[in-house]
Amino acid sequence: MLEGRILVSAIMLIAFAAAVGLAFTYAPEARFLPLVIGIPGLLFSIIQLIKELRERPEPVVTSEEQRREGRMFAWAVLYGVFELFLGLPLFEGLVFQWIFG
Amino acid sequence: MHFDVAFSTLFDLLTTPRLLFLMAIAVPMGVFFGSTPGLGGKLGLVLLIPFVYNMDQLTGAVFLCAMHAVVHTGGSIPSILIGVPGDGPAAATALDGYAMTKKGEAGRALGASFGASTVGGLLGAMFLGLSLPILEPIILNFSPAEFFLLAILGITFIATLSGDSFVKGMIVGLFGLMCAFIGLDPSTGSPRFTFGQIWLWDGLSVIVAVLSMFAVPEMISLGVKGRAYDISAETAAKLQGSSSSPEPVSRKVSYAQIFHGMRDVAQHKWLVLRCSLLVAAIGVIPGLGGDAAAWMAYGHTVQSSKHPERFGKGEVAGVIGAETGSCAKEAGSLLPPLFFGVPGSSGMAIMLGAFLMLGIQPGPTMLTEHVNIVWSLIWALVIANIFAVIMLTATGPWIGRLGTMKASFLIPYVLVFALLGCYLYGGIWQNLILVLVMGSLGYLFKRHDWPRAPFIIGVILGKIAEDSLQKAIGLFGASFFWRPISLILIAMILASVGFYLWRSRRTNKAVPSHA
Repeated sequence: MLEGRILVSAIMLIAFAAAVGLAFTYAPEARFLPLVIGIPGLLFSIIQLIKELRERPEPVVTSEEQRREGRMFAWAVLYGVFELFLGLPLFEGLVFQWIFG
Repeated sequence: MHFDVAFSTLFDLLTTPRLLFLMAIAVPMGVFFGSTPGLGGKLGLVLLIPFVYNMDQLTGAVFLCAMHAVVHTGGSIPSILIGVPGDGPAAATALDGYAMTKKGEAGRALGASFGASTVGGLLGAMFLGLSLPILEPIILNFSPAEFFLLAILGITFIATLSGDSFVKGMIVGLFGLMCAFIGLDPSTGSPRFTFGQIWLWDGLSVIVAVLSMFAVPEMISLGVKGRAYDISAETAAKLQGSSSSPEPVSRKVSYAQIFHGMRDVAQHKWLVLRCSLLVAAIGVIPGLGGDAAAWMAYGHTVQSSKHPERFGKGEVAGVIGAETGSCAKEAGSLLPPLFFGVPGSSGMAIMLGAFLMLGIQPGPTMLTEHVNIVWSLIWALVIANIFAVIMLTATGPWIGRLGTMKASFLIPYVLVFALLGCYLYGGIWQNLILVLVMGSLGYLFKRHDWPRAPFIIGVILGKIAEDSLQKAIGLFGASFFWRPISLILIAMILASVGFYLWRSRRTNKAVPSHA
């Protein structure tokens, strides 16, 4: 199974690769800074991923901890979906906007 | 010196019921966030930012500043009563504070802590006010060229906030900078990284960034761990047994004990003055955050004592030194973000984000056009500290219950406020999805020891750097690097990176890697 620390490095590598690739499609003035930042970011991500792949595997996470993590994520996502589809933010937003101005 | 502005702003603050009311709300909130292990000042700022969005600049800034000013005062409560420091600076207080509680002197320790943090906060604010005339000519000489380099300097501080891994810190910081480029390009007006979504044209909001990176991961982590705090073996050893001590510990607090502690502060007046000035000056230096300041003040207290052997065993001077240090640095740490746009710590990065969101642009205009805001913030620090000591002294015998509150009860409320805050900013429902996705990434960062503060610094400084670079090139052309102040700043950038690399090499040599 893919370890979490490798997954994080891989996510960052993919994010920078995609951002640099996209930046090349922009006008020269618009892509200058994204490339100045994105290329070092990509290089650092490659270094980090290689470092993580070479390191010893991390201690196995207990199934109890994994279960709790899964439950917390599910709760957060379900809450987001609940808010999204039932329009709750609108209600809460109106109330709090009224209170705080 | 703007004496007229200084006193007129104080008059305005004291005669505006709305501002006084908001400060009176902000102070208990700050104490609550500080005293509940697992929450803390950063999360407090993050959660309150959405509610200042519609306030005017002055009101919003005063509200946040007053809340943040007393967080460390609240943080001393669990440190003293249960030996659980909520953050790094509070660990210095716990050393002697908890030992005093074990000796049955909890009230005296709390009184000393409240008194010292109030006097420290007041002296720190005075230091900031008195340093303005000295800084004014320097700040007014800065042009967009220097502000671009200052933004780069701020980004190099990412390294100092990166913990053990420079590479991880740089990746997260650069990722934050990339996220700052989301939206319309200021020079061509063409959309960048918007994926055809019009709601992204305005860019990634600082609110969404801070809530995703701090509020959501902290709450998920609290839910997973089921407890609010983790004491390292080292800290536990320092605390000499901590809360697992088999001896019964009396946490009874009386008014007499609290006033005894306050009298101790008066007896150590020179120590308080020395610690305040030392730490207020250190607070100005970006990168040397609260931890260093509190431990430096504690170290100075031990060094200058005639009985250094008593420290760690319940010496009241230890509590006074550490608390003065924690609170005196607050005012000094406001200086870099307000005048140079460079946050010196993750808390100040969030504060800077809030200032920018309120439309407060750091730089020379803070001294020319918005000096009233600067003085209002200084007075807000003063008033908040006075409010805090009155409130804490009055509620002293009962305040200890705050420190034993289970932070995990707060998870649903904090998450609701976080998601609500994201929605309130512009009324964009898509921000809810963004905060959940980025919050998950933030949790992965936290879970695998990736620093998160550099992301916020990147998001904030990215926009400042890009704007300043364009203005600098427009004003001076590419030769702006050769201006004298620019050269000094370039030297500082190189020195900052060099110092970090030298320090990590030395640490690696001293401590063999576990990998």
